[in-house]
Amino acid sequence: MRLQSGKQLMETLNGIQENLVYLLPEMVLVLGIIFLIAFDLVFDRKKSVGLAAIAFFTLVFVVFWLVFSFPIQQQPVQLMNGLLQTSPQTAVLKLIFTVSGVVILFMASRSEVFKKLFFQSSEVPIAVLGLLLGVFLMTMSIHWLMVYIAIELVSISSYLLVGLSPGKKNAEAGMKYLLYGGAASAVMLFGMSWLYGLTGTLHFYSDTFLAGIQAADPLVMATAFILLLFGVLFKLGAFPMHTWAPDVYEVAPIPIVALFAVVPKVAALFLLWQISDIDRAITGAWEQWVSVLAIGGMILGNFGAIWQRNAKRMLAYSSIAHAAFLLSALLLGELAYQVLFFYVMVYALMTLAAFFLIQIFEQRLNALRFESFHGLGKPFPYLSILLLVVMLALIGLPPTAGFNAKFYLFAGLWNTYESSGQEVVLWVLISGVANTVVALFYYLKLPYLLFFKTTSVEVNKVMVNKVKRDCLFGTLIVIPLLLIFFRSDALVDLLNNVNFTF
Amino acid sequence: MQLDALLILAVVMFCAGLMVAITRKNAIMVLIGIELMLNAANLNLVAFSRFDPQALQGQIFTLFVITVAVAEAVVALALAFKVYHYFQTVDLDKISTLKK
Repeated sequence: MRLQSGKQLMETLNGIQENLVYLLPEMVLVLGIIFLIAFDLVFDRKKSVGLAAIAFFTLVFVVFWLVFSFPIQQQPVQLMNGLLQTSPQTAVLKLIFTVSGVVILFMASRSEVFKKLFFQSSEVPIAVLGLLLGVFLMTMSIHWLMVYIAIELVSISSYLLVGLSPGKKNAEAGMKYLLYGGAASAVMLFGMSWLYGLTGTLHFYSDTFLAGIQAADPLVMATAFILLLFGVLFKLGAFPMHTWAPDVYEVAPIPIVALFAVVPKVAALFLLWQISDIDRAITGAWEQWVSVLAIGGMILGNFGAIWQRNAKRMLAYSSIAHAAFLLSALLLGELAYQVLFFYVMVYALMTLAAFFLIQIFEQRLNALRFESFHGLGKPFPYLSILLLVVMLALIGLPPTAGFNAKFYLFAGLWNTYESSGQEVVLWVLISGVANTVVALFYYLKLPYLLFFKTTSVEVNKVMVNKVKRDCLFGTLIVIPLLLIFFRSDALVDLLNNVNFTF
Repeated sequence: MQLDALLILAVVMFCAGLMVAITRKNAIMVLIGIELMLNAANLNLVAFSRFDPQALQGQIFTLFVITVAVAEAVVALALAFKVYHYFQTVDLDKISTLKK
């Protein structure tokens, strides 16, 4: 924006000042990061309690602010001269992200190894808060510059989180993740630069932009858009940009994997939803594109998962498949918001629960590869039943919320097919149902090994007691999955109350 | 005419960068390829910026890209250092302890 006079400058500054109240969560996150650095510098040893307290307090404050400030977020507001936009949707998403962040820090504090890694120095909590700041900006951006910076903030924090933990494999996975991610974001940036050139504006929510893409050559436009998609799909971990996921998930500490599986994925999905309108205008073939990506992801994720012998790698492929299911929710048109947000909430819950339980198995019982799960169901029946419930949720079977999420999605796809008559939507539906059947095989493998195999592992009393305490917290995460199944209308009503209109 | 030349140069740079990133096996070379791709995008942004009615948007974008690229390069070199510490090489073909 070119500034003609001092008066105009004052107006702009005043506008920015008025907008600051909407950006309070982001400012609190930045403050939290600064406090973490300062605390780390000032105190010499025994820092872990203070660092954990600062990180928790920051996130809890953001949660409370988001909940209590909901009335002022009811209307979409453009901030900072049209760089950002808050709306009820972004408020709900930020709430999901922050709550996931709290759960993840809590997960880390439940294990001796991860407690050390997370809270010994300020590096890991800073990267976690940085990642959250990145996804906050990512959901709010309506300007290509913000999109790029937000995605890079998330990416660089992710590389650090993978690379910071000691070990040969971490260094390797971090390096490969970084090179892959760097290439993806460079390709994305090249696409953005062409979109800028063709439309003459960086605000992708403006009328100028829409007019610009309609005037431009469709082939060039579509090419630029595909280049742009690479970067977003990379963050979504969706087909065909998913290859980093299994390696990174295998080596990264479990709380960090849980963070990766929920937070950047959902943010990227929302961003994709935001730009889907543009794509409709460009090609008119958005449905075909999304369908191909969704079907490819479902098949690849599910069939990849079958062959895995490591619980974390299996969950990595499962998250690729779930990314495909989330993508297919974008096909629903009018209905998409409710289905998408319902699925996102349930997905976040069940993924966090799955990783929490797997962490108990890994940390307490040293079980991560499938062989080591054999027969643990006998000494630890309650823990194993919890895992069974979560696996049922991930498949999408009753009596868990996973069933409702899949059911709404499939019902929505069928309705869309009936009303629009597009065959691709039907194919997505068929592939989704078929893949749910395939999912039975690998998700139920773990409970099968737990209950129907025998073990030679000796179980001592201390271990049983520790696991018992963990189970208590595990139950707290699993119960919502069951509650939402029986009272799914409550969550739907809640989502309906959020004013989902632009 | 001048714009065309710049755009063609940017495309050539981008393709060269992508080729380097894909074919080279040395992590540092791949990184250089990525930088080349980023700079191709920068060139585009600056070239287009001249025709922007709101002037300078593209150039500001470029400044941000340069800054972010530096941050990324720092993390990349730190990781390359760590990889070298464990493997005594940064050849991507030789560092493969993870299951494919």
